[in-house]
Amino acid sequence: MVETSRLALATAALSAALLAACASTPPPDAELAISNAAVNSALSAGAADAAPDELRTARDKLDRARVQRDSGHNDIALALAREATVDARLAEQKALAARTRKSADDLNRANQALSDEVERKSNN
Amino acid sequence: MKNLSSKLSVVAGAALALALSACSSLQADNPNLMDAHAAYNAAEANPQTHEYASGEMMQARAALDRADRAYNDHDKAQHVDHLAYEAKQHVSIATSVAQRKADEQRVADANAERDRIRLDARTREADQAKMDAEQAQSQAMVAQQQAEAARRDAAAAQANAEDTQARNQALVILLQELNAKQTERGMVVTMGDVLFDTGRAELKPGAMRSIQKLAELMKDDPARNLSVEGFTDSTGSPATNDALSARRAESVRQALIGQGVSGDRVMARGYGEAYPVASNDNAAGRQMNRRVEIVLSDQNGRVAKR
Repeated sequence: MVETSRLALATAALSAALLAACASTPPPDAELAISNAAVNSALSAGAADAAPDELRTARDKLDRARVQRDSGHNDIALALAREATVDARLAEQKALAARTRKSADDLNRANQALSDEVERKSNN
Repeated sequence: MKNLSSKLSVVAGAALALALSACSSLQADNPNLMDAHAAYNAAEANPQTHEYASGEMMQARAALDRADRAYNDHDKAQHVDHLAYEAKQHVSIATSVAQRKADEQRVADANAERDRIRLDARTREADQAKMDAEQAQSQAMVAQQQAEAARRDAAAAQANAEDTQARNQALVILLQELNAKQTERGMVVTMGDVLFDTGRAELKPGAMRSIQKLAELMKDDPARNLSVEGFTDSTGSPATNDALSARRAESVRQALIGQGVSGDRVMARGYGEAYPVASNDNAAGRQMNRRVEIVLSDQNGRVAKR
């Protein structure tokens, strides 16, 4: 009985601490700036074409993060901003990967054509 | 003692049960964290991700550890989900980076391959050009050799023609000087009896000019032979005439040998009073019959028989 009451007390104290932590989270302005930069970087990498879903998700989360910050929900804003950042980085990497893949494919096709041409010439 | 050990085993059993339930609850009650683990393990098992995106995989691992800690610390499900999501996105980033780097390697390989193909093409072209040039050169050389041979042949033919012409001309002049006559047996030079004393076979000095010219002709025309034939008129016995005509012919032959003509190219024979060229009834006719005829062979050294 005594044990139970002690546990309850500890839980209450922890909850209070957590709530206090929540309330004291500052507006994640730095995180938002990082996230915004990541989205812009993805855009310049061509993510609008190569990874439209990831880019849309990132922008959506960035917008929602700003709304949550403006409403004082800094914890939620921070989480959304961080997710928006990884989403944007994924979009950027997908765009870069797509571009590189296209280059490799194009070069290999060009090589095949070149090789065929050389073969034809030398057989003439 | 027994009581304590039984208590301990109960506690241990409870701890084990708790651990097992924690383990199974990780799989069961947070599918997002479970997904993140599955994605991480799949990426970790891929050699390409290992090789090209080890840094990104470390970030993913760290994010996954944060999510696990939050889960084990019984953080709010929402927070665990958030961290699991971040971890999963980091895994995707790592996969994407590895893909790009593998493709960058393909680009580098393709560039190297293109250089190799071009070099190969240039090498083949150069080899072909060299082969063509060598062929052209050898053809030119053959043509030049043929032209040179043709020129030599033409020059030789001309020289031969000039030589033949010159020789023929010299021969014609000599034969004219020797007062040679064309007969059906060939060219015949006749030496009259004025070149011998009566009844004798020794040539007089006046005959020497003709002998020298004949020797010259024989030297110029090494393929020819001579037949020296002596004749008399019908005065005297045939035996004497035969002998005298033979000695006179031999006398001419010896004179020719004396001028350097090889003896085996000159045949001498006396015919006596046979084959007269004029009547023996008068002095003028008899003088014409007393003679030595020198018959030139054909180009092959043959003299037609009488």
